[in-house]
Parts: sequence; C-alpha cells; structure tokens
Amino acid sequence: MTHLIRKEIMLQKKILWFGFAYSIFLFMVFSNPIFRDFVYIMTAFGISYIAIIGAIQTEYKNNSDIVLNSLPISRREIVLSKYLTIFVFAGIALLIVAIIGLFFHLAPLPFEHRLININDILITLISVLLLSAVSLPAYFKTGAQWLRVINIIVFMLIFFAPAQIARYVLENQHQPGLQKLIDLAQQNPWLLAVSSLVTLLVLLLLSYLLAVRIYSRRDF
Amino acid sequence: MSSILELQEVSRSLGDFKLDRISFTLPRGYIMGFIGPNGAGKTTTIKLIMNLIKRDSGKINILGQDNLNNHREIKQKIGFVYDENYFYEDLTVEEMKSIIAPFYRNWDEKLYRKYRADFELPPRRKIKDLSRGMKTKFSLALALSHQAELIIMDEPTSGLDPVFRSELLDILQTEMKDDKKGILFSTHITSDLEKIADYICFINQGHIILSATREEIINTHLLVKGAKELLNENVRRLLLGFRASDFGFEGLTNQPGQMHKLLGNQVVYEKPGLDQIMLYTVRRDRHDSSN
Repeated sequence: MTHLIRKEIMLQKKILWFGFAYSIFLFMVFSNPIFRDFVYIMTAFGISYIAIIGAIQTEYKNNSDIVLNSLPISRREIVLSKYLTIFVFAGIALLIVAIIGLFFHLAPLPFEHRLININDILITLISVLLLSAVSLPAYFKTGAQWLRVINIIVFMLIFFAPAQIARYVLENQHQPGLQKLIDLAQQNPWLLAVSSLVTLLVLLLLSYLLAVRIYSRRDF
Repeated sequence: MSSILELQEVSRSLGDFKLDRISFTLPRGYIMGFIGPNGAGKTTTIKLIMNLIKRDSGKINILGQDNLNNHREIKQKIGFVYDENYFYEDLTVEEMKSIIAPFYRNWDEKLYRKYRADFELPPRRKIKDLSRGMKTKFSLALALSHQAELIIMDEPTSGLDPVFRSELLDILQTEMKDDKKGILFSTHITSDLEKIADYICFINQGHIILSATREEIINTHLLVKGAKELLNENVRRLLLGFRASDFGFEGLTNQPGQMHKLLGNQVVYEKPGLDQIMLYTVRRDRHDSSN
C-alpha cells in the first residue's frame, strides 16, 4: 500500500511548486476583509483538488490500469490507495497554506492574514472528502471522461461559492432556521464541524466500498 | 512434465467477438508461440490470463493454481511485456523502475542494472522520449529482473527493427537455459518463432486451430505445388487452403499420406513454414480458398 501511495506522490511532485505559487497568488488576490477569512480553505481545497484530479488524469492518460493490474496487487488495494492519497494531498495542501499564511502574517505588507486555525483545517478536509467521495467512484466507473465536467463545475464553485455562501449568511442571518444553525455553530462550533466530518467519513467509506465493487468488475 | 500455463475451455464474449472454449497447455521449460492474424483473439487471451478481463467460463491455471485465486502470489512469478507502453510517460526510466520494483519480493537490482546496461537504457531519460524499441527493452528488463517463472509477451516484436528482434530472440533463448521457466510469446510475425518456439498455438477468430509442438505442426502439414489441371474436387477436399493461378496451384494439406496417394509424383511437395500454415488455414477459415 505504501508503494502505491508513494507512486501517487511521485507522479504529482510538481504539486509542491504549484501549491506554493498558487497560494501566494490567492493570498494576494483575496486579501480584502470579505475573502480573507476563507482564503486558507479556498487555497488548500484548490491545491488538494488539483492534486487529486491530476493523479486521476495521469492514470487515465497513460492507461496505467493495465500495468497496475498486472502487478502483484489486488484491485481493492489500488482503490484504497487512491482514497488514502486524498488525505496525503490534503495534508500537503494544508501544510503549504499554513507556511504561506505564516509568511503573510509576519511580512510587513499593506494587508495582513491571520494564522491558519482548526476550522480552516476541518472545513478543507470536509470539502475535499465530499468532492472525493463523489468523484472517485465516477472515475473508477468511467475513467477520466466524466471528471472533465466535474472539473469545471468544481472550479467555478471554488472561486464563487464561498463568497456567495458568506454573503447569503450575512444577509439572512436573522432567518429562524439559519439563526438556529448560527447559534449552534457559535455555541458548539466543534460539534457541528466534527459531526460533519464524521458524516463525511461514513460517506467516504460507502464511496470506497462502491468504488471497490465497480473497479473489481471492470475490464481493461 | 508439469505445465506452467493451462487454459481449459475458456470463453469470453466481447461485443461481436467471442473467444470460444479455447484450451492449450504450455509445459515448464518451453517457449510457446501464440500466433494468429490481427484480431484473432491473442490479446484477449493474454488479458484473460493476466486477469485484466474476466472470463465467462472455463479454467486458467498458472503454476498449478487458478489465476483468480491467489492471483497476487501468481503475479509475483509472472513477467509481462505488452505491445504498447502503459508506463507513466512523464517519469524517467529510473523513476518508473522505482515504482515497479518494490512490488516484487524477489526483485534483483543487480540483474536489472545488468540488463539496463546491456540494453543501453538511459536511466534519466523520460519514458516518452524513448524509442519504441527502447520501451520494449525497458519492459523486458523489468520482466526479467524479478525471477519470474512465466514470461508473457504480447506482440513484443511488432514495429521493431530486425536487429532488435533478433537480439530479443537471443535473450529469450538465453532465459530458457533455466528449465523452470516458460514463455508465452504472441506474435503475427511467424518468422520470429521459427528460431525459438518449441510449441505453437494458432488462434483464429476466437478459436484455437492448432496447438502442438512446432515440429509436429510442420511435420503434419505439407505444401503442395502443381499444375492447375490437377486441382480437382478430390484434391481440393484434402487442401486446407490454396492459391491458384493460370500457371498452377499451391496449397496446404494436413493429410500428407492421402495427398501422396492421390497425386504421387505429379506435384512438388515442400515442408511449409509457419507463415504458410497460418496463411492457408486462415484462407480456409474465411471460405475464400477458391479464388
């Protein structure tokens, strides 16, 4: 298993340089007060997403399922390695944004960024896991064709959804339902984040089981 | 004589194409040439052996075990060379090797380096920048460096120059000095097999037409050449396939005794090559032998 995860990292090693460049760019672009709070999440999610999709496209481009399935590895291990790699990519992405965030926090610039916090980490993980839970079974079923569509939709979401959600929450914060959710989040922010994370881990497990089933039946 | 690879009544339908109850056995210590025209079912059979596609029915035994049970253990002992490059194009030769090697318990780094040097493979060159021959050499170096007992090669020589083809055949012959091994070598270039194959398995349109030792196949077939007037109904019946022109006919029979009785010294008999056996058998299969 470690060999398969090592392979994924080796294939996506460029993500490190890309991650740093992408982070610097986004931290500069989203330095105004509205976006500032979301910049860690947006950036870490973006890097993780590009790494995950990059890994998938590399396999697809090289038709490497043929070689992988000719090696002494089970199909279940191949699928599991893809799911475990999500955590590795998310971890690398969070580390990169934490370093860049620290730099922007300390540097004497006309704007300032706060340091990364636990909410950034949890929300990034939740977003990355949600995306992976949907896209990985789709990949194992159809190859990378489907993912081009998802690619575009998710990219639009990365750039526009957080701002829209924030605006919606600010404008409608007195609505009873939303108010309740905001209260709950304020009183027990951990409860909300952790329960979301647990729900997603269960979803990810179901997604993994589905992907194993799909991949085990595939012909190459 | 134990078998290293055995297929029994294996079938698989893929759209219009059907691999139909194919059976053959490769004994340990021998090279089997797996021949047939393009689209005959060679790659499908190899994919079934490698468990890349699932069979509808039948049995495949590799090293005495079913290829679906314990497939990880079986694949430890299989070396594979495919007709196309399925490695990661953006990696270098050395990076790709470092991905493949850890999966094999018996990886022999010293042996790999020897092959790498012998084949003049540049370790830092990206896979995408290797020539087709280089890519095949790289696949071969990987396949031979983990003490594989069964080597499966799908059209390894297609598109390669004669020098490298000859080199490849020499390497395979050297490998066979170890009589624990077995090689299944699929090709449509039958001349490659005249030199090295002990057994021939001939597939056409999803059916096994012949499977026996090369000598047996050549000895049981006879090429007949004679005047066109001799090509009567009885002669045609004994021919697997033939080609006729105004000057005469040439055909292949697998009933040499009957043919001798019928035509005696009126015609010329020759030992056929594998390509002629394949050509005339395929022509019969297409029912166009009377043109």
